[in-house]
Amino acid sequence: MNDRSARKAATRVAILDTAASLFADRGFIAVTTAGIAEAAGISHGLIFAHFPTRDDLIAAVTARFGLLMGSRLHDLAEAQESLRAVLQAHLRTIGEHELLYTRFIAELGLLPAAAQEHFVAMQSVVSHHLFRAAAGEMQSGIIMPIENDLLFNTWAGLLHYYLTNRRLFTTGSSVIASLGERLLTHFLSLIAQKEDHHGRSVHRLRNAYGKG
Amino acid sequence: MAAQCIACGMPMEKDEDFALNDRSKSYCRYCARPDGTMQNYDEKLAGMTGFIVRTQGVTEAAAREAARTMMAGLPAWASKK
Repeated sequence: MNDRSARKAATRVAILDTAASLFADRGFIAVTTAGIAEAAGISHGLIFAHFPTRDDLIAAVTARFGLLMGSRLHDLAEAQESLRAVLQAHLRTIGEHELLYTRFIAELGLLPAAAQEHFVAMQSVVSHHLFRAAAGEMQSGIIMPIENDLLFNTWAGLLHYYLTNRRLFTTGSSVIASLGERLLTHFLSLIAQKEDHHGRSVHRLRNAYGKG
Repeated sequence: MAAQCIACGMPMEKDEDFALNDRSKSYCRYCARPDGTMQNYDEKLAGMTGFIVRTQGVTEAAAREAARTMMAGLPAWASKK
């Protein structure tokens, strides 16, 4: 890569970094390209040399975020066998970018179609990792049989409610740090196998998951 | 940094992540046909669409658009933009 190409690539990264940071702080709707240019210390026109429209920039931020989250979760979760460990890896991955993730889920329906599609693709990677671990625990009777989509959507529904209403549940600190473990334990108790195949109540989850 | 599948973006670290366990391949086992060759665009789009439907329960139309957009950013499908 020659100097000019390297400078161009560095500028593109700087725009994406600055945009992601501002989106996390203020939300997608409130941030303008002029504001991003000012914060990045570049001319407004230079943004459009890299991203023809604001929608293109938001889509690029989302695509990069999706790759980052998917790759990070893959690294953290791949070696994990238990669903609890994979859920903890998911919480950790979100916790590393909690504000930006929360902006995505709160404003997703208002984002450009391409950004929404990148986000959906990312969530399938998460769902795949969760179900991979859950399938073994379904087989061994620790958790009840649940289809892949419902398992993920149930977990996401719980987690996203707390994240999008963060002001009700935390005093400025991280939702993941303050409530993540409690939500995880609650979710595992919800999906625990309640009866064995003879219809008898089972209590093995209490042993497997502590508070369950 | 792990290699990344050119057709789906999956990180590839272990031998078994690569098509035919062959580290010289630029695509993963999920993007390979049984004979080890890489799936074409339509095959991969169908597979990715099914994956998104199965993992999130969204409609096939929504899944197909998500798959199409995600694939557009990957090296194997750059010409499809």
